[in-house]
Amino acid sequence: MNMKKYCVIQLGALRDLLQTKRLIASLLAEGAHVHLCVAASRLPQAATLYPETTIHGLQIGTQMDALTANMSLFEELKQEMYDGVYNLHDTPANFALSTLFSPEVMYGYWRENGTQRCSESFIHISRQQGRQSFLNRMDLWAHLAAKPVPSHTVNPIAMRKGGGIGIVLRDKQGCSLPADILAGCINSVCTATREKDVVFFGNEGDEALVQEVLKHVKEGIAEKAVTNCFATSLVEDMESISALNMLITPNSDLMHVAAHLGVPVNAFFYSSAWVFKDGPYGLGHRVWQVDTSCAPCESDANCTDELRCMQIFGGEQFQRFLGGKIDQNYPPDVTGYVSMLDGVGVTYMPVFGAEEHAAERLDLRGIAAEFFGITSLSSVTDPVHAASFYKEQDWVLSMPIRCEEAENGL
Amino acid sequence: MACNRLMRILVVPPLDGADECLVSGCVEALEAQGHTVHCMQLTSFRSGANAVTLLPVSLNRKQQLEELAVDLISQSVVAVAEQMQAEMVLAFPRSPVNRGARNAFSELNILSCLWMTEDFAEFPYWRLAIEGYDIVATIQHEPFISEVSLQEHTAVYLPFAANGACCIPVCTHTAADGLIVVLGDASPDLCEALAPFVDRGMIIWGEGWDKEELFASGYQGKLSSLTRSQRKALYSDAAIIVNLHSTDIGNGDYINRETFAIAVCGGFQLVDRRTLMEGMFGYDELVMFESTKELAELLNEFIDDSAGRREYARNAQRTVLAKHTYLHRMEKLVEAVEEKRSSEAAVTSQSPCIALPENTPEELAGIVEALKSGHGLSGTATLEQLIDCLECQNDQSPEGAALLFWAASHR
Repeated sequence: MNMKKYCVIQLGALRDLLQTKRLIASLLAEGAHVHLCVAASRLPQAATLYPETTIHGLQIGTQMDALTANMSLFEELKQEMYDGVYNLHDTPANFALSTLFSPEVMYGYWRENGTQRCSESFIHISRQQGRQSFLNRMDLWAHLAAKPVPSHTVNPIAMRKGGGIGIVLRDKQGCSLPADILAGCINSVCTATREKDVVFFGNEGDEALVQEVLKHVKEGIAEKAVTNCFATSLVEDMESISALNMLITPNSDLMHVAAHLGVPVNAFFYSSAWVFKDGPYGLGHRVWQVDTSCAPCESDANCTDELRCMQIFGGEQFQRFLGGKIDQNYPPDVTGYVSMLDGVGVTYMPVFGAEEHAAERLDLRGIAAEFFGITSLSSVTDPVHAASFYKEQDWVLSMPIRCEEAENGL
Repeated sequence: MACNRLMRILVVPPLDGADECLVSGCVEALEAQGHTVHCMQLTSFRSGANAVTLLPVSLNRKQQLEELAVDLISQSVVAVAEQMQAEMVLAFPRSPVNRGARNAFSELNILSCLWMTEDFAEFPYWRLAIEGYDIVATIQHEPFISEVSLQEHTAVYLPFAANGACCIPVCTHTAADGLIVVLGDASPDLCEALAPFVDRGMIIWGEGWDKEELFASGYQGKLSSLTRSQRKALYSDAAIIVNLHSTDIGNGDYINRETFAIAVCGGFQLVDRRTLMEGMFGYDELVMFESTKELAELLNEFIDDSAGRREYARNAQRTVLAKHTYLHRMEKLVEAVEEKRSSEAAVTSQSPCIALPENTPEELAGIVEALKSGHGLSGTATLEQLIDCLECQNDQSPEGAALLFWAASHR
């Protein structure tokens, strides 16, 4: 009878909803009731992905009806008396919502008497930015749970489903690779895999872009290409993607859909994407990560270098490797990774190209494993690597109660 | 009040916690004008800063550490101002706002105001202390105000004032007929003037009285030891309050806080004459003296004239309420801020003011009103003020959280 009740607040994009899978699975595995709060516009997606949860749709917007609707919904949420509330983002809306609950039940981000607070792990992880980041968002959120489910149970091992290759045109910011470069990649991958059937996934109005790409694609492939450039529901996308042998994609929402379904991802990460943070979850995926000195960049920064990172995928040497002709002349500035799993979660192993941060990352994952209670003593080769995970104030300033007592004693 | 004139304001009190009445008077006045006001909480910093000044280390090391302490608190002030998106900061000479913080305000496009509440003649640091502030409000007029203007500050003459909320109607007073209260420092001339009245019942706050045998029994302590509520009771209960600006009677310009506070409480005061009283108080409002001889004469005149005392008290109270409350002062200061803002070419875009639209359903408006009163806000408080209040307190009410959530989508 003493069943616990949790609430996960995920007001982010579809990819965030997908990346919450391990956390939700872990809470469900405790035998608890799990409620999920999403933006009302994502109700159908949430229902598709998490039918075992009770889903609430929050009204986002400046209209008066949004305010009134939320008032009665918030009343309901408060009545639930959750044992734990997982508030996963640090937006003003998330902080506002957190004031509904008692600080003792909060995980993730919340505000307490005007002070912003967050779970301790978020502080440690926030200290490794850019190239240092080593933790997939799925795992960052999952480790808020007392006992995260094993990483291999989250997504199925990716396997060919027999239905050709899918191509996602745009990344999460709406950018796409130049048509000729994308076409080159398609040609090479199709050569290596002997595929001839391709399906394009784009937004409404992307037909022109597809035509532009098809101009450069080999004839045998181009003439059979299918174009999916219209508004589709998640259910429809899942249906199309679940039949594929592979999904060629930049860092996109659909990449995470493919990983969720166990469809092999062949991802091209440029500009702001960083494999260790944003990569597809589970075994059987590969990611080509641009390794120019500027990568990864701020997602909304204007590029002064005309997105040089994208050009790398058009290089002749790279295309040759992509086409399966492997020799001693692997090109610089791009690393080929395959996904792996360890005690903490998903990570990626370089199979092509050099990788500078491997040793540091291994140490950081070991330190994180200690912090999360996965190992009691990790082998850390260089203690300096711990310095970006912990800072003095973590243990020196962590006794606010004593300070209050001192103040009252005056 | 027009929406676009309302600002988000951070008030930074002096670190030592002095001038509580003045600071809260400013905060309350600015809030009453509809601004969203935060008062920087410094109590907890005080013990840390104090600890540094008491360290058993060499003077050199202590200097460095004290600088660090001031910098830490100043940076905290800047962070709070930035977080609350303040458009204006109001500080005082002893507020923890160092040069770095003042520069940061200017980089953040926050208009900084200093109410120079110290007498410049006794505050030799003033040149450095006012540096970098956009607006410097002074309790003194010429020649100081011109000197301030010379340094590229906008100078505003802003004498002390009273808190209108402290008003106690004169007719309700139950003045003990004999009680004489003396506020100020001792001097031989003063002792001589006051000596004949000691037997009438005299209590004294100030410096130097404990050494005079005659006055020692009535001596209560330093003026700064008086709390807000003690003052209120004292000013309304005493028959006569002798309000002394300095031992150098008849010479001096600015008017002290007590003059206004006694008046608003409906007290009757004998006060040494200051040049800046001219034009601010009439002869039927304040009884002024220019020498200790005159003080003794006035004490004789008024000690048994309760009707006369009440008449003066009533007049002074009326004038102070009409012209000299913190509300008046803050209006003048905000006016100067507005002028400065409009005169500057690059006016920063203000964050949009959140308000309920005109067609708000009655039920919703009712909920908002209930939230206001539940948080001790008046009905005239703006929605911005309510949201700000909700953000700083753990409300845990569905209505409060929904309102904050809704406000978040405006930003």
